[in-house]
Amino acid sequence: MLELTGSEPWVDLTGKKLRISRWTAIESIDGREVVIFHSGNAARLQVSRSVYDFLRRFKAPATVAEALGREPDATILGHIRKLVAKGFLADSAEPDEARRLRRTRALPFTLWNGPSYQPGAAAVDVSILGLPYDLASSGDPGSRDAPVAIRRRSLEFGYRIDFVTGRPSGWFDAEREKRILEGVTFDDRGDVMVQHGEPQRAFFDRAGELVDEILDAGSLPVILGGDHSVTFPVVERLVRRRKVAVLHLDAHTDSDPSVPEEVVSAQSVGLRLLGLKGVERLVHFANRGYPVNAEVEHPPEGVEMVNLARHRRDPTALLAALPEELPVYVTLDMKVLDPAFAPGTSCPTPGGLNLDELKAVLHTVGASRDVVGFDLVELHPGRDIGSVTAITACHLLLAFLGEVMARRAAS
Amino acid sequence: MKRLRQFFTKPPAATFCAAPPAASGTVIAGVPYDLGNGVGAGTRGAPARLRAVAAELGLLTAGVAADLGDLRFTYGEDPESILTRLGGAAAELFAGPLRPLFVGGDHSISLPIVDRLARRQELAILWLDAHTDFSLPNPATVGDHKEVLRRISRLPGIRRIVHAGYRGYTLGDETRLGDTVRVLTTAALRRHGPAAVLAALPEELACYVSIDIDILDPAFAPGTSTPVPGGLTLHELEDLLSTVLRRRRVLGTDLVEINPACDIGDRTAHVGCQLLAVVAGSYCPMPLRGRVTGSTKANKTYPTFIKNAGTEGECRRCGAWFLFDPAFLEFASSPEVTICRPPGLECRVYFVPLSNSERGRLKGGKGKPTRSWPRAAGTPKSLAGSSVRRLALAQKRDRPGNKGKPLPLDNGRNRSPAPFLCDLLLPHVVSQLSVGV
Repeated sequence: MLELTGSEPWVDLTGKKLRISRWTAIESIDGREVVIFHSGNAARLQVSRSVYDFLRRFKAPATVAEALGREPDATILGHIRKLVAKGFLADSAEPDEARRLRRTRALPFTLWNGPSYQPGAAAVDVSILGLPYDLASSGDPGSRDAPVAIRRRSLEFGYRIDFVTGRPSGWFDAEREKRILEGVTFDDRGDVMVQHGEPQRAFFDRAGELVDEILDAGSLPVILGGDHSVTFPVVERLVRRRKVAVLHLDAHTDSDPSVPEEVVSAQSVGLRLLGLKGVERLVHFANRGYPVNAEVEHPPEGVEMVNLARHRRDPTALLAALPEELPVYVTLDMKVLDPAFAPGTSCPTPGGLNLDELKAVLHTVGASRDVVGFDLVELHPGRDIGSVTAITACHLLLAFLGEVMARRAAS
Repeated sequence: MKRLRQFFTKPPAATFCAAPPAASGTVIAGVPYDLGNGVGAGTRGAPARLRAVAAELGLLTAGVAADLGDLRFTYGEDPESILTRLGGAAAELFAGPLRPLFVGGDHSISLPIVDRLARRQELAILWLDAHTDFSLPNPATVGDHKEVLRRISRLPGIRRIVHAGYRGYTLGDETRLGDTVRVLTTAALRRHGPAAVLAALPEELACYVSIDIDILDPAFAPGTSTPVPGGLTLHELEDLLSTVLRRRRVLGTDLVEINPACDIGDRTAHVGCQLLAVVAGSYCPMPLRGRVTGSTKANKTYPTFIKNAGTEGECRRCGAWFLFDPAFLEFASSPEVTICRPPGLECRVYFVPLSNSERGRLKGGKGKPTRSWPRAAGTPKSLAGSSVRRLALAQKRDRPGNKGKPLPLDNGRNRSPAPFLCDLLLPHVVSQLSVGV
């Protein structure tokens, strides 16, 4: 299993009855070789026919000795541990293997067709994680499909590693005529499982655990939502480590006071973030339309409003609202763009930014603040027009990460 | 016409041009070929869809001499034989008096067309596209739409390629594609306006213009299979197109990659028709000389203000008579001007002051313009923000010591004012045009 290593105590096989995992399946089989795979974690293994014959003996729970007909030696135990670690064999006493094991779901493709996360591999600069959760949005749900939709369109951008230097080649930004993200390593951790029917907290904990792992590795977490509530578990883990300012790019403040306090909904995530200890500043940017709360006129302590009219009058207002010494977490709701440029959102709000304006904001923030995390949420592929919003999301990711990583490399 | 018929289908029920074929102007040919686009089929439907929209709007009667129908071919036929037939039709068209405008189809149709034109004469290509189409050619095929411009760049007779509209994120740096190719990104187009394109297109070279609809922002033209965010607005593209079509000798045009299958309520088809109208209406076939009639009166703002005025004039070449609605006349100081009339189109005309030497030039004298254009004091406010103004600003910005990135492609030719008033007025004129019969 992805997150297990052979050293974990339950991989101690003495007296344990093992059986074939319900997720183990055969991909191909012929007279000599068998390829088995794990449909839960996408692990693949090519084994010989004799190993396969041996594995078959675990159809009913059995100890290794029983299956083998003698006491196993160290080599065989090593192989068995590997099969257990990859999840092909499971402890038959484990009650709910599926829920315990599956934290992420296998994906048909990774962002930019780049490397997927490998346990035990060297830490990367940027780690991608999908949170396909849209159960907290009161509008039209559908952002659960966004991580896959973004990845699908991102295939056109293609992640390459230079064969000779062994370094990632990055991309060429045609508008600014310069190379970006050269040498920056990525991995894609896939999408966090959503078990429909489970409590919101269970999903947030699962997502938070994976965010913690990304932060432990020292990588920059880049989150693909999901509705806007998924920002909460990410920032929740982030503020356990450091104080942050949150820059909230959105058409709305998402601060609806009528939502019960114990619920993190896409309409109340602004308030919930503010309730987290360690969120020192919350900046709502490009807020527009007709808000249902009084926050615009009387922002509470720690909240700064930079609406679109103010930004267009005074482009420095945004940076002024973000204290220089505070690291920044950026949450980008696709609704910040005008529906002409990002039609694929659940609640299109007229009068937004155009792409050039938004890129300019991302470039400025990325180049002048210490960015410690980024999420892109509220993309609704079902309402998109010819995937243009998903393509735009790919552009925004590259535009922002280009600046953020350039600043990190320089410091 | 008769010889051309072998290449094309019967004229369809809906057509770009209902009038009987004219002897001069633009001739439209549909090329519903989409076998060169590996991303998404569907551009084969564009000519029919555009015709239906055009018929609905009555847009394209102006400047269009004839609609030839669609290229004759069968799906399943070898792409090479289809494209060869297209080349044959193009050769026939380029030999005649009409200016062809091909409606694709995917972008691979440009190759045989340009090939046949380049065999006749040396040529510059203006390629308006979000992608550079410069992938390495696959020798096993006759043309994928991703590699068509590289194939064109290898044709003998192509002296210059100007690519405009490159944007987004690509694996490699595609701004440097060889000595004959100039690449202008969308950002550069925004900064410098059509002047940047003119500067890169040598004045003495005839020109072929290829318009890939994805140069536009997907907000304006969603109906295309490879949209790239952050493109031009329709107005920006119209401005660019009309400038080039009037300031350079454009021998042919194509409009490609409109895919009705991804369109939203014919939005892209409407935009396509609008572009066809601009192309058909913007050529500069007959310089007209006119006389401003009516009484003139000076005031403080403008040296001369025309009251109760109308204009009439005759073509220097063919003697055709024309008239502008006096309501469109706002301001003039010179009784004699040379203007280019978009055939069949009404337009709003601004007259601006001429120096003596310019006036001499217009009258056929040898006088050469001596001052920069336009004179600041006498310029109507309505011209601010037009290409004239932008051209002047771009030049100012490019002076050594001034801030801002210099315009690398300016060969100095655009520093002197254009000799014809029309050249300066046109982008503005076209931006105001309302289409009529």
